[in-house]
Amino acid sequence: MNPSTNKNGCVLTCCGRPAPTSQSSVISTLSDKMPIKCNTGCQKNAVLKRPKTGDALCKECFFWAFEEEVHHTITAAKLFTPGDYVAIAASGGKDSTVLAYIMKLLNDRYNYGLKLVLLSVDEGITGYRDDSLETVKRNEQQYDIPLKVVSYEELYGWTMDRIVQETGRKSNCTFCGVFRRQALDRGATLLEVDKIVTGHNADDIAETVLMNILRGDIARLQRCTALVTGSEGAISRSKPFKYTYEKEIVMYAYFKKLDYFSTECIYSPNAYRGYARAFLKDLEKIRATTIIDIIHSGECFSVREGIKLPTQSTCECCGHISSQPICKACVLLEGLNKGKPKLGIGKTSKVREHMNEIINEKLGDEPKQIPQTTITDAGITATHHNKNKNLDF
Amino acid sequence: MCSVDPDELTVMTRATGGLDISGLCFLSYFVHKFRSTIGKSKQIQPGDRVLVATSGGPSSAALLHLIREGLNENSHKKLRFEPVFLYVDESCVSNSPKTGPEYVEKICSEVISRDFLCYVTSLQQVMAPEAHPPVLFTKEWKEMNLPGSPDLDKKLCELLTSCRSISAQQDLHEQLRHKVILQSAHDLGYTKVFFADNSTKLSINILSQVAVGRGSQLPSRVHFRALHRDVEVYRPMREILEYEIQQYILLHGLTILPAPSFNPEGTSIVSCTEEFILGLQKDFPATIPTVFRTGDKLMSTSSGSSKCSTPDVNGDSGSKSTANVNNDPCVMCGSQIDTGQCEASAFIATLVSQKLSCNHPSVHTLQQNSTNRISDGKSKMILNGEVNDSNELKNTVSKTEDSCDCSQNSDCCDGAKSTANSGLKLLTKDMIEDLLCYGCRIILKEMTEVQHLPVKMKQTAAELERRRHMRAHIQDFLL
Repeated sequence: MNPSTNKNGCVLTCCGRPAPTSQSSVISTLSDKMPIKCNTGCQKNAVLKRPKTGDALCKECFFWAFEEEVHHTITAAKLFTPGDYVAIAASGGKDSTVLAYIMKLLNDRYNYGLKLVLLSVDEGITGYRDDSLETVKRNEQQYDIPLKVVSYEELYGWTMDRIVQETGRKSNCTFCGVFRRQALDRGATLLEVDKIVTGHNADDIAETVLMNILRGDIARLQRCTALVTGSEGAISRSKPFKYTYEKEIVMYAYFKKLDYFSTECIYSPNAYRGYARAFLKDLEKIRATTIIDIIHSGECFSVREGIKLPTQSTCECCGHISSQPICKACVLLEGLNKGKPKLGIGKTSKVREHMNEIINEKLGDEPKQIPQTTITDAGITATHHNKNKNLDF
Repeated sequence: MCSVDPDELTVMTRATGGLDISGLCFLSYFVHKFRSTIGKSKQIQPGDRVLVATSGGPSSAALLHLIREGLNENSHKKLRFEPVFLYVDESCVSNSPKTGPEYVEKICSEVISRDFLCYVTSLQQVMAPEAHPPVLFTKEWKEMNLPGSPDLDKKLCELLTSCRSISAQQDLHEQLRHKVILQSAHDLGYTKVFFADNSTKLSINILSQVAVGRGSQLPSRVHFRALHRDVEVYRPMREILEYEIQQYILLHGLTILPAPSFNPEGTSIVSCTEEFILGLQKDFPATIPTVFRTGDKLMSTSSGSSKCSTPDVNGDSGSKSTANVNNDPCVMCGSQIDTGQCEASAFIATLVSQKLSCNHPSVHTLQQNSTNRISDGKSKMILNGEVNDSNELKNTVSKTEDSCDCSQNSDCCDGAKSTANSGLKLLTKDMIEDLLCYGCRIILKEMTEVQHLPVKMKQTAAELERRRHMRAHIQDFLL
C-alpha cells in the first residue's frame, strides 16, 4: 500500500497550495476521516500540517524538516567558520528561545565548532522586559549557554519608560530600535565575539520589505533581504531563521515544549509596521507561500542607475557606522539630554542647527575658527556644493 | 478660491496636496502631466505608429480624449504620433458572455467617432495555434466578424478554471491579456504600444506583484518604457491618480463603458492589496505616490548575481548549469527567468522545504552529499507531490543534466525523437516548471491539468526542452 495516497484526505496537497481551512489551527482537526499518515512515508500518524508547504507531518519528521532547513540556510550561506565565537541576540521571546535551542542542537549535531553566548538587552520597560529577561535567564540554565545582559540605563542613562514620558507614545519605536541596535553592537564588542545571530524570521523580513516599499526607503530595501549584514569593522549579523515561518517556530516550540514569554510590547500598538503586518497576515490567509514569495521578490530588487543613495561612513561622536555625520543614536541622545526630545524625529535642518549651536558654545569666543574635522564642515561644504551646482547649470 | 489662479472660483480639491483648484487650472495641470510624461522620456518621435490598448474603462476613455485633443492642437505643442486603437474582447470569460458583441460595437464606435482606426481581437486568440490577426472595426460591423470560435472559448475557460485559487486565475489572466495585446501589435506591425494604466493601479500592481513573487518583473510592469521581445510598451498615464481621472471625465462629460471582463468573485491577492492601499491612502495621503516612486526607482538584478551570500557561486556546478537556462525567457509570461540564483536564496529554500516534507529521513543521508546539486535534480525528485521510493531517488540524485537516462524518464527522449505533436502529449508539470519564472511556477503548481495550457505555449516549451538536451550533450565543447 502506498502510504502516500494522502488523496483520501481533502486537506493534503502538494506543496504551495493554499489551505482551504483556516491557518490558525496549529493541529489539523480531521476527526471525520481516518488518521492521516505522515507525508514522508514514515508510517506514523500525522499530527500537524506544516504552514509552509501544507504537508501533513508527524512530530519527528517535522522536527527533522525544521532543523534541516535551518542547517541548510546556515551551510548554504556559509554563515560560520569553525572556532567562531557567536553571540545569540536573546530577548526571551519565541524567536530567540527557539534560536538558542536550535543553535545549540545544530552546533552539537553537525560540529560547527562554535562557542555560543546569549546576549540580552534590557530596555527598561516595566511589565514587559523584566518578565522576558526571566525567560532568558531560564534559557541560560536549560541550554547551558552563558548570558550577558546590557541595559539602556548603563549604556545611555535612559530607560524606555522615561523616554516615553518625555516623547509621548508616537515615536518611541524609533528610539528603542535605534538604541537597541547599538546596544547589541556594544554588548558584542564587550564580549569580543566574532558574529551575532538574531532571530528574525521570514515574516519579519517580508514585513520589512513591504514596509520599505510603503515608505519609499530604497536603501533599506536593498539591504533588508540580505542574510548577512554588516560592513568592515562592524560585527556581522546573520539571520538563520530567514526562511522560517513564524507559525512554524511557534509549532516547534509547542511540540518541543520550549518555554518562552509572549506578549506585545506595551508601547507598540501605534507603529506603522502594524499596517504592513496586518496586510501580510491577510495575504498569508489567501496564499500561504506569499511570505517566501515576497522575500524572493525582495531579493530580485536592485536600484536603477542614477538614483542617489545615502553613503555609509562613521559617526563623528561615537565611531559607529552611520550614513550621516552624526549617527542617529547620538542625535536622539543629545535631544533627550538637552530637553528637546523631538530632535531626532523631526527635521534634519533642526538637527544641524542644534549641532552648530553646540559647536559654537564649545568654541566660546572664537566661533569663526572652526577646525576642519567638525560637524559643521559637512554642513558648510554641502551648501557650497549646492551653490556651485546652481552656477554650473 | 483657486490656489493657482486667484480669479477663478474653486471647483474641486486636487487629490495630492489637497489644494483647492478651479476647473480650468485642473485641466491644464492634468493635460500637462500627460504631455510631460511622454515628452520628458523623448521616446516617442514624430511619425511613430502607436497601438493604444483600450478597455472602455475610465483611464482608457481619458486617454482617448487626451490623444484626440493633443493631436488637434495646431501649434508646436501638437502631439506627433499616429495612434491606432485596439480593443480586446474578454466577454467569453466574463459573467455575461452574451453582451460581448454589444460592447465591442459601443466601445469601438466611440473610438471611431473621434476619427481613429480601431481594431478588435478577443482573448481566446491566445489559445489558438495560429492567432487570427485583429480585425478592423468599421461601421458595417457584424457579430460574425469577431475572431474566435466556441471551441477556443471553451479551452480558455477550462484553462482559467483549472487554477485552483482566484489569485492564480487573475495572475494568469493578466499574463494572457498581455500576450494577446503584444501578439496583435506584432501581427499588425506596430512596435510601440500604449497602456492606459494610471498611478493608483500601478501602485496596487507594485505591491501585488511583489506578493506574488514577480518582483523581478516590476520594471517591465511599471516603468514608462518596457521592452518585451521586440515590442515597446509605454504607460503615458502612469503619473496620474485615479481620482484625478474621474474628475477629468466629469469635467468633460466623457462616457465610460464598463466592458464585460474577467472578474471573479472572492478575495484574491490583488483585491486584498487594493483594499489595503486604498485604506492606507485615506490615513496617509502620500502612500500611493510613495509606492509609485519606489517602484520607479527599482530595477531587477541580472539573474544569478542577486543577493547571494556565498562568495564563490561560479565554482558551483549546480548554478553553472542553471545559468545557461536563464537566457531563455519564461514560456508563460515572456520575462526573464529569475530562478537561477545561488544556494542561499528564497527560491532554493522553497525547494529544500518541499523536498524535506516529502522524503523519509533515512533517505536524507543521501541528499546530504548532493546538496550542491539540488538545482540539478530538483525537478526530477518532485513528481507532482508523490513520494518516490528510495531507489528511484538514488538514481535521480546521481543523474546530472548531462545524461539523458531514457529508462528513468521516458518523456524526454520521446520528445526528442518523435514529432512535435506527440511530444506535447507527454509534457509533464516538472518539465514545464524549469522553463518558467518564479511567479509563473506558482500558477503552474495550482493548475490541476497541464494539458489545458495554450497550444503555442506547449510547443515552445517542448522545443526549449529539446534544445536544452542538445546543449547538455555538447556542453563540454561550447566555448
